[in-house]
Amino acid sequence: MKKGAFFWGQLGFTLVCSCFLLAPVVQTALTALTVDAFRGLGSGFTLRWLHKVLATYGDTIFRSFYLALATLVVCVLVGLPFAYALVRAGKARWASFIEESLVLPLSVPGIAIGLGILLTWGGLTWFRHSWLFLLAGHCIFCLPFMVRSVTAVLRVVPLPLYEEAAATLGADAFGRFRRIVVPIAGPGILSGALQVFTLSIGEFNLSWMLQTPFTRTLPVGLADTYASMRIEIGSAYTLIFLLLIVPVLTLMRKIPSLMARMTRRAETPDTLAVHTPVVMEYCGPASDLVSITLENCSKTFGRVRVLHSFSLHMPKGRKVVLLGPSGCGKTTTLRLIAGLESPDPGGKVSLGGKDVTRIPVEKRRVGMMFQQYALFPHMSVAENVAYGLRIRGTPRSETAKTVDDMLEMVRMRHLSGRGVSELSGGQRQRVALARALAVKPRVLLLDEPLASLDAILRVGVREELDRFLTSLGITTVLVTHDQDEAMSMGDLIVVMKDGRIEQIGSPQKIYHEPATAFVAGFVGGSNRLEGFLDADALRLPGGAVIPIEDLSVGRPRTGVSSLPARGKVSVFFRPNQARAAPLVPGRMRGRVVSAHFLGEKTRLVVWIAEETLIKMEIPPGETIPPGREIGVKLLPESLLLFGDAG
Amino acid sequence: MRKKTLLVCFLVPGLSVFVAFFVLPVALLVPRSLDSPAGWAIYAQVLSNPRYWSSLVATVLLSLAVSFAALVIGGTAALFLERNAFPGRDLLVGMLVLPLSFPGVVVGFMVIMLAGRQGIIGLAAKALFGSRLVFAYSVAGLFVGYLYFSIPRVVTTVMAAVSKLETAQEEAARTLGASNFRSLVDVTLPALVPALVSTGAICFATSVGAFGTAFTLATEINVLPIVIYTEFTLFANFATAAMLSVVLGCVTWLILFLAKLLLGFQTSGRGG
Repeated sequence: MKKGAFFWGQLGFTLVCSCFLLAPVVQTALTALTVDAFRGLGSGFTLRWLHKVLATYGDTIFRSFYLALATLVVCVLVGLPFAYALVRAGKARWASFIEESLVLPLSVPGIAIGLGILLTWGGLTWFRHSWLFLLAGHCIFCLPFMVRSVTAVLRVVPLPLYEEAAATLGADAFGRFRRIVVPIAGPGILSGALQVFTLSIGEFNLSWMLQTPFTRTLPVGLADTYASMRIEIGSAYTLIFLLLIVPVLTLMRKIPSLMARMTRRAETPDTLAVHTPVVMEYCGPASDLVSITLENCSKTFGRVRVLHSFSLHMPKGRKVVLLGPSGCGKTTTLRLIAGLESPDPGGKVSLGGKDVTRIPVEKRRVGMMFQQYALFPHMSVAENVAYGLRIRGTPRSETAKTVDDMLEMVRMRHLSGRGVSELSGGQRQRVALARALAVKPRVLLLDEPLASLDAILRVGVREELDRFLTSLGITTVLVTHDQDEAMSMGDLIVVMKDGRIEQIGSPQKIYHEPATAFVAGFVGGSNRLEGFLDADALRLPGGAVIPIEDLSVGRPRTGVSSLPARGKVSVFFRPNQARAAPLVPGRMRGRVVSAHFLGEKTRLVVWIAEETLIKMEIPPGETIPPGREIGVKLLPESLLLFGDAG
Repeated sequence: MRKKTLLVCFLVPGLSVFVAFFVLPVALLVPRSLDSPAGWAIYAQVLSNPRYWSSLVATVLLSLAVSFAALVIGGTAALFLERNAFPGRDLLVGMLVLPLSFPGVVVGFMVIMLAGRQGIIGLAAKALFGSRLVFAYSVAGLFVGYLYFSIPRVVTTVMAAVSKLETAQEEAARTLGASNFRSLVDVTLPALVPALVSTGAICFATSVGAFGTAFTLATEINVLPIVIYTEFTLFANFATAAMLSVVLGCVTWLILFLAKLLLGFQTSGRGG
């Protein structure tokens, strides 16, 4: 694009503006090095003034330097746990109140704070006369910068998730703080430290109020030279100050790019990556197999009951799928098993027949794979896998061997040195799996293992994961909202809704013999019609009348006796259980809305009685143009009927 | 609960430092300001004293003028720098944010360097018009000094805000027929209002409390922080100094609070 007058005008303006800021700095430097400031540069250059300042004010420079370091130490020691606690407190009211008040020292003028400190603590003579008095002032002034900088970094990453992942791998609270929180907060601590250092070195308002003749700092000395009107001494002193802080300031400007790299690591996986199929095989020692039992477990968050009391037994060595729409309580159930949540009083969780309800997550020996995988962003692939072993104090050589084995198992060994951010979604999943399995867990818990993968990847990864889990033979609990995933991977499916279990059974049983209207509607892409059952026939919208004796013919499961009570019923059937047929009285009439060619079949969308859309299939050769009125022949023996209560 | 105890343990050291050296000292300023026999009436007495009153008015007016000027100058530069790529851009940004953590005293010295007896402006004026121009020790000098530390603040905040804006909205305005300038006024500036208000408020608060710059320049006008300082050190007038500190704290707190209120109102207005 050609740059117009608008551009050049703005550029000129900005240049003038930056000259305004920089010119006095340059002039200061020149004056400091010039023999005679009044005669100008022509008088020649000298280091005399710098020497003189160092001789006269050297003590203030060192004092400021040490004071800044001490302030920095206090701010890190006090501010880091403080920031962490604020982030972990989340949206709690008291936490946001504290966070808001922490900014107050920046809005109350330093001179007022200084006066307050002087009037409150000035009576303590030993304190008043020591450098600790200045330290207190500097800490109050600098602490908010450290806290803000650290909270900013900790808030862009899913910190609770990483901590939960570390807990399932066996880390206790302090271990998590040391190994997960502190490294992740790294860039924030660095940026905060640089700010604290420069602010403390340059702090004047408080220092001037709090100083004694023995605790004069650099800015106080500066003010002194300025007042003396010796411009070359003032310039030389200022130049020394600038040389102290400008490198730090320059470094500080590099921080945002560092932070950006950090946040990029926390992003969701690169969904466009192509999935390269691998065959994973478990070849380690067989894990000890345990069953999982939940008894009378319910869970209430605040006033919301997300799980109603239920009991569930998961046999050892089986793959159990918890299936249901979002908010049905399936993830909460998984977290109860993991120990990330505890059940309401009276509930009991057992692993292998042993009550583990009171045992914290880090001691339960469960392997968990989180929905977003929760790989630690500051560790490489191998370090992630090794984490659980390191927590347990496993010898180095053994850890290295296990990590190698695990990465070999998930076919990721060639990428062991990579950063997490450089992996595709499928690769991340395999690393997460290796990390969870490295500690030889008794059960494996998978929270939506495929949800964060792109649809194109999902089927391939699903088959791969299923094969692997079967070869592993470990008791596995998998949470999903996708019925295809549940059907293809589960030995046993638990369908949940609104915190209750709707049905437990094999995939076949769930598909063919749904226990409730909800299960029938949720599984298998069924059509639903509201009808009426009376003594001799089932009446459906669109004029369909199906004699009651037809309903019982050829039904393996049900006889007439198991039909719901007379009255309103919900009727379910699958798209392949309806046929297009000529219009005759007593047959359902509908209008074709659209036809979709799907290769091996053509799907019709049909408008029934101007109130319900149903889907049905016709052979691929046939075509029915939209708008045509057709008859819909239902196969009576395949209809699933549920009374109002269901 | 275990988690709560842990959080409390982590909060306690920071909170104790904060309470001991900020909350307590600032809160105690209020009773100290009532130490004279007049009691609360001292607030009325002191504020009706023309010396204090004029100093308060001058401080507030000067700070307002500086904040406004800094917003215009810094905002223009920030918008330009964030929206254009050209060689030397990073250097220019570096120059503009360099004085960000200069202490007030150094800023004061920079003003002397610009507009003092040996200042660049003075020398340039002498070369051009034959007479030196010295204004470092007047209100104009104070204005320049406050501007000097305000511009970098505005530039950093506004640049960050602009980088978060979606250019798509501006481009949409352009496809609908708005000129470069019109889309700036109609789309970009309204989106930047929150950043401008908050950085403007911070500039104001910093200027009101700026002590070092005024101290170095030792100008003939008395801004409030200097008055507090002289009351305290020269006249040992603790009550008045404490009282003026309370007033100063209230003024800055009020302006920051108003800015916050305005922003909260704006965001909630958008939502509803």
